[in-house]
Amino acid sequence: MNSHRLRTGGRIDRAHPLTFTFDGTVHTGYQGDTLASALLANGVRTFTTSLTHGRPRGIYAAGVDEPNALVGLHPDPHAPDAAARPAEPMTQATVTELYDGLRATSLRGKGRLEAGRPGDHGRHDAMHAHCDVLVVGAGPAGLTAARTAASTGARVVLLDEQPEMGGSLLGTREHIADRPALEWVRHALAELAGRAETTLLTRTTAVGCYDHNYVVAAERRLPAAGGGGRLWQIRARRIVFATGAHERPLLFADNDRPGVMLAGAARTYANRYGTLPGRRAVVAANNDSAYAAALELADAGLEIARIVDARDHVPPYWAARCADRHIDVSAGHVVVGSRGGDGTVTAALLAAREGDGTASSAADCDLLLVSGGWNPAVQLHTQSGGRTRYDERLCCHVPHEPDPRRRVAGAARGLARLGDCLADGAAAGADAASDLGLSAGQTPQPPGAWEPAPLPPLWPLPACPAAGDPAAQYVDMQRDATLADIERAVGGGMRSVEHVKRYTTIGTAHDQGRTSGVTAAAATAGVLGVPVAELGTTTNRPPYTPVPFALLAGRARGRLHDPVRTTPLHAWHLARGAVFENVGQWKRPRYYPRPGEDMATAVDRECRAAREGVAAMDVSTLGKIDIQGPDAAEFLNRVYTGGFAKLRVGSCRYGVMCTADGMVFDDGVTMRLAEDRFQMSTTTGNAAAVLDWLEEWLQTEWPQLRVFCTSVTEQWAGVAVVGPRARAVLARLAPQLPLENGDFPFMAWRDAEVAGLPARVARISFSGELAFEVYVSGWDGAALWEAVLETGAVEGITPYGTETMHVLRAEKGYVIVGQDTDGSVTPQDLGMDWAVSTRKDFIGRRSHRRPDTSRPDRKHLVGLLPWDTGELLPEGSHLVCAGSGEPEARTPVPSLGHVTSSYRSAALGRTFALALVRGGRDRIGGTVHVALGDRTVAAQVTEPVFYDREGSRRDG
Amino acid sequence: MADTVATLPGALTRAAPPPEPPAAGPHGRHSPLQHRADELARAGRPGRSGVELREVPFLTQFNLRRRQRSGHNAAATLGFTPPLALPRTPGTVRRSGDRMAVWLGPDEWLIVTPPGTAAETGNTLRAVAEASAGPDGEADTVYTAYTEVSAHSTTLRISGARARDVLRKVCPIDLHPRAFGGDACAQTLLARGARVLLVADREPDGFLLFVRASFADYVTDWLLDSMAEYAAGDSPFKNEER
Repeated sequence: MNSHRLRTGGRIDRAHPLTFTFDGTVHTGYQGDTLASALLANGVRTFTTSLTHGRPRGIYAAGVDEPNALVGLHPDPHAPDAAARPAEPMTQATVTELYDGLRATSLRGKGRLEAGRPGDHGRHDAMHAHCDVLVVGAGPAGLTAARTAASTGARVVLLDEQPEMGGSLLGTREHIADRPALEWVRHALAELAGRAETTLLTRTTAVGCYDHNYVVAAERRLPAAGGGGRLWQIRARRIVFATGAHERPLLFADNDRPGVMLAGAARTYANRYGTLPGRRAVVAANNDSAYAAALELADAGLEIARIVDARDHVPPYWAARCADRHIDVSAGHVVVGSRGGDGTVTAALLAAREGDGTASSAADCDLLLVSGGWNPAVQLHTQSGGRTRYDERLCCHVPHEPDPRRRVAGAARGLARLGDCLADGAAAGADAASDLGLSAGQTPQPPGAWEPAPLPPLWPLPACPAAGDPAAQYVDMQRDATLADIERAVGGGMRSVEHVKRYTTIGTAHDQGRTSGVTAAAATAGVLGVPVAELGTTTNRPPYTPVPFALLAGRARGRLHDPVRTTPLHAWHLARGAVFENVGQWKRPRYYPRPGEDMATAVDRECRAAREGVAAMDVSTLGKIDIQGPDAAEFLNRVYTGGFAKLRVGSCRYGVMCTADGMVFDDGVTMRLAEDRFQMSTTTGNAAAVLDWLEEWLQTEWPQLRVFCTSVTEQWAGVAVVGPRARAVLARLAPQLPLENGDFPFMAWRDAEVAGLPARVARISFSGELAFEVYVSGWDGAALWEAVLETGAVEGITPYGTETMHVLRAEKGYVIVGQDTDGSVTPQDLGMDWAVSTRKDFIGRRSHRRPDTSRPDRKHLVGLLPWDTGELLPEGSHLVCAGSGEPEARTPVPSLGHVTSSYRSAALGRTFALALVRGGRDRIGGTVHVALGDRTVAAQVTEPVFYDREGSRRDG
Repeated sequence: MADTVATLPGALTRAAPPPEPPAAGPHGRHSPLQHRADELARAGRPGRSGVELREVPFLTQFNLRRRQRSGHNAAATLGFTPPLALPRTPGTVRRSGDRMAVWLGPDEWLIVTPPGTAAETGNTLRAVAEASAGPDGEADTVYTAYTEVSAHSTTLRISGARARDVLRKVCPIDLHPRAFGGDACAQTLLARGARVLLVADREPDGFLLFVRASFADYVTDWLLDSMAEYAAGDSPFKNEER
């Protein structure tokens, strides 16, 4: 077991072995391993086969840049907490922390959601955070940035995607001030942990940077702890991106065999995980970092067969060290291909860089380490609008003209040497704090000008185009896209790197081009024969790494998903078994079924009670707006289509308001409380929109009007007492209140004591029956309701819901804004000219004079009586003419309009409907047809008032 | 019912509660979260790293609007004993005794006084309205409107070292003491769009949340959900923000 594990070293806990299963085979690893490091330690070399070409692939990288090693994770069905452990359909083995009992299967490029276990069962939530300085990445530059910023007293958030902080230092044996770098990391973290205003977040990936320095970061919880995560929404005054760099691959034939690996990744596996990914390695490089990797690997016991450096001259520092260890270096040479046996690499084919591409020699190896230089991780920088420029020496895109609110530090801006990164981070952290007026006294100096040794020209293409088959030179291993695909794209006429990306799909897989992006751009430029700088690069978009939808949803699921508004009577409705209807965000009782009753039966019973006895309804949800000021009456006169200036104190009036285009917007009854004070009621769902509408006109058009509007919707709870016996019930509830028509006429309101509660009573009817609406403080709502029901018990008072209300009002032809209207209906269309004043101006009046609003063939509100009195027309059904010809001759059939409301009426003993019908008032008495699937139903067009046309019932 | 004894911002739980006003009506009045008092009491965790959530019911609240015809700020001092000045600085509250004036906008305040004081507060507001009215039409005439909104919203008090963390899960406002001090207030959206007024309590790590009565259950559900990890005492997240 653990055939490739070093005896000592690494940041794994050898005292804590873990058992896991990969593709059905049981392996062991250690606490601190990733799935990838544990598999390499167990000698697993071929990991999967590629998506379309079916080629064997191995682990290539050591982090989020891994293109090959995709796995699905499955909970152990026998584990006691199996239900709590999430299934993860697709993730990278290189970022999967090993846990005991982990069960993974390799994936061939695509994950699969398990049908039996839909959804993510981990607990996901969200957290808002605010800070002065956010530092993304806790490598050398990030740590110094956070330290210097925190030392000024700034509120600092330092986050890193890894389980522990230290970044690249975790995978190297670098020294800082002659001490192992990790000692320095420990010291720096202890200092930061002691700062009261500093927050340290590990396992947290900044996935998006948006306007105003709004950064979204995803924190993962260990799968062993049930999975899940936390979405951090961070608003930072300043940001330091210390996001590091990703190593670039090299292009050569068969550069995708298992055993080909990034040099820095092998270095990390050895140093961090105590694992050697092979026995004998060839290192192919064009930059210094591969030497550091090779030497550390050699020290760890890996045989370095040869270093192949594309540069003509090896830096003397590295040449001397290689000589010390008897490592051969071939300067001016490149790898042009690889040999494989049993799927994995067995030899590297070498050639002179300036030669004809023919391999001059082969070097046996089971590990071919490649390093094509480093790509700064500029994703967050460019997401937030930062620009980049192509650096010819580094062969990559580096941040350019960064916004001072978002600095880039360290390897993320192309620095390579550790000392430079430390100094650069310190300067960035101090500058960010000093921007905010914070200082610790001393200003760290940024590193001096640095001239990197230029990479060899024409990178990444070999000097000779004949060097190996382009169809075997993999640019994007996840997509199995090769240099040949780029040549084909360019040959097909594509000149833009964005087009080539979409044609070849390079950079569109799970790693979003971290390994392939710059290589693809350079290769495209090479094929086109233009400078890479001129070609540009593709656009980075969030998220930086994949984010589960469950994390974005967070806790906003189920009852927390959307606000639910309830009235003070809600508990009673629940206890009474009400069936609820959503009205906007409100829960309103739709009907109160008795045992054994269906909706039709319950509604029929409730309707009869209101028409024949007495019934009561919770009307607390109606929007209520207190309108005060010397100009309040003038204001209402302008807002409503009807006149309000002459409304007397103690009275109320129904009003319709229109938008500027003359269309009905809302309606309701407004009480005049005093000369300068009104209380407006709005429809339940429209209360906030109406208040916004009033404020918009007051603030932008009529600031000279002295009017104040205040929402008082929940200040009042309301109960409507409806029916011929309503007066008898109210007489006992409010013995002091004169209730006869002469004292308390229709559309009047009175303050009174009702059931011992201070109340406001209004004679308003939305049913056509004698009705009183009683309003009390919201605190007293439940008391009022119970008193009304107790007092009315003698009369058999019946609670009713919105469905009954709809039937009652429709029988009277009263519209519901939003149901019988849709924003294209004028008051005149509804036959409500009586509510529209001709003697004053109001919002929408001019639009009523447009030719279009006076067309005779506009859609009018009319009634429909189906010929079959039991036929309930579906709301929304379209109406067509009574036809005479053949069906085929009538297609397409013009629609005359649609059914807006349709009910069974207890009072009429039949079904009926309201409808908007083209030229409807001229069709009264005629017949229309309703197409219902394979049959057609005839209905007579009528006036939209079906019950008590004389209006004699409202006075009892 | 100890949990529903009306207490006040500022004085809050420490001072002796004011006398309970007589219950109105035969069935008694109900605050919007009265039915959840026990649940709230159970959900919290007292102590150094705990958090507690309570309803502060039946506070007297008036919405006050004042604007000068010239458009100038018409802040004034209300003639309570002791007097209560209206805050002029956006996002702040002024307190005086057990009364509080909360800045809601350039011409809008919320006046919060103890339970059962609606008549007194109404009279005081009428007096300030009449005193500053002046002759109609003059540039310096101040127009005043006040409306009782006591039952329009109820108040939640969340306190304890974890109070900020609980609120940070549902509220985008920066509640750090440097940004949201002892006299701070903000109108904001909680969770998925419930409109609330957030006021720093007098005690550190305490906040008053004025939430419209119809949203009270929904907001409470969110706060309880957010509290769960701290109330349990063992956070599943290793990363703790200070």
